[in-house]
Amino acid sequence: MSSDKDSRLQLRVVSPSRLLVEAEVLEVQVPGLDGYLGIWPGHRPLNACLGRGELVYRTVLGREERVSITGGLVRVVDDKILVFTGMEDDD
Amino acid sequence: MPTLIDLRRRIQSVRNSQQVTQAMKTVATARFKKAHRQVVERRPFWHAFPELALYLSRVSGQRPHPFLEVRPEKRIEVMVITSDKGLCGAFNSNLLAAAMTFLEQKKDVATLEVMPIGRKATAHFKRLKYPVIRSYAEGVDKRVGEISRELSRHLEHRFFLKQIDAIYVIYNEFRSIIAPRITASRLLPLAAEGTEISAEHLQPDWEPEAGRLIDYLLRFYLRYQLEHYLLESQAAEQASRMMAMENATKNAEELISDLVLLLNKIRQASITRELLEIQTAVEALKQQGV
Repeated sequence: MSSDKDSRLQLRVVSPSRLLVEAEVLEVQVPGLDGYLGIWPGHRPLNACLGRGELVYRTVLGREERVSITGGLVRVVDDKILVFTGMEDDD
Repeated sequence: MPTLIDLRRRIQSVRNSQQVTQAMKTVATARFKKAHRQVVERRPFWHAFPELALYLSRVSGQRPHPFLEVRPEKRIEVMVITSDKGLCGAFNSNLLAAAMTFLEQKKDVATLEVMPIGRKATAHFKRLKYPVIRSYAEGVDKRVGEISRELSRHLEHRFFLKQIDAIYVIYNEFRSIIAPRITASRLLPLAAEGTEISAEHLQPDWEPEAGRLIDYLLRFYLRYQLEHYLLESQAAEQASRMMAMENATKNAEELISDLVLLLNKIRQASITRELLEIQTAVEALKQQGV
């Protein structure tokens, strides 16, 4: 395992109405289309659609936080996680 | 020299105007706070969206989504966003001047269609007899969601059918209370800045496949970007109105103090004259030995 500083993830969750989360975290779980995806530091680049559910992340202080989301998508690249959620369909 | 009664009337009238501008400033301030909060909260999404869409299309290595397809710009749709109401300083006139410069530049290379949003822009282009296909002139600020939904469908349709090759938006972006920044930005196509993804980057996993994921994301592009432009313009409008009304209130104050000074001078002059007349009369009577 690399040094402590390196094993962190930058998490950013944005919705059309506001920035929901911007934090340094140790671990994230997102509701994918076929069940939860766990994301740890060093994850492969990933682009995925999200389903309805709760996004769970563990902060650097070890606290677990939850945000409920209703679909959207996630991008993971270079330990940076960007989650887009809360976009409404027209119909 | 104006008479005292005229001056008093004039001062009262300026004072009344001042009360009106003061009240309008208060209203604009309240509206500005709301609009500003909205803009600041929503900016992360607006700014991250194009970046994410471009990233996805770059790493997908597929034929680009129609929104990302750059064609020679033969037919251009230009959206010009102003406010419905005036009394906001040079907000609208500066923007319309910038829009005209932009249109002049593009006029020779492409066929232009203008889409004015807001009553001021609509009236302006109607006067100039520009080809206007669609315009929104009433209550734009109350119907941002509805208008951006409707427009996004309209523009998407026209862009897909290649009736237009590019869409530009000219609007006032809220920068600071002092002055808005006039911005002309290209809404479509989404410009892919030529940087290819370098070889050492891992190819990302896709879930579902790239094409569908990009389709899903871009479905929201137009609507939220249009909302972005409209809300930025509104925040800038309220800020401009706030400033304009504050200046008007200040000017009225200065005018009042000038007029009061003049009033006092005239009043004192007339008192002095009357005293002088009385004194003369007294002296005259004394001489006659009454």
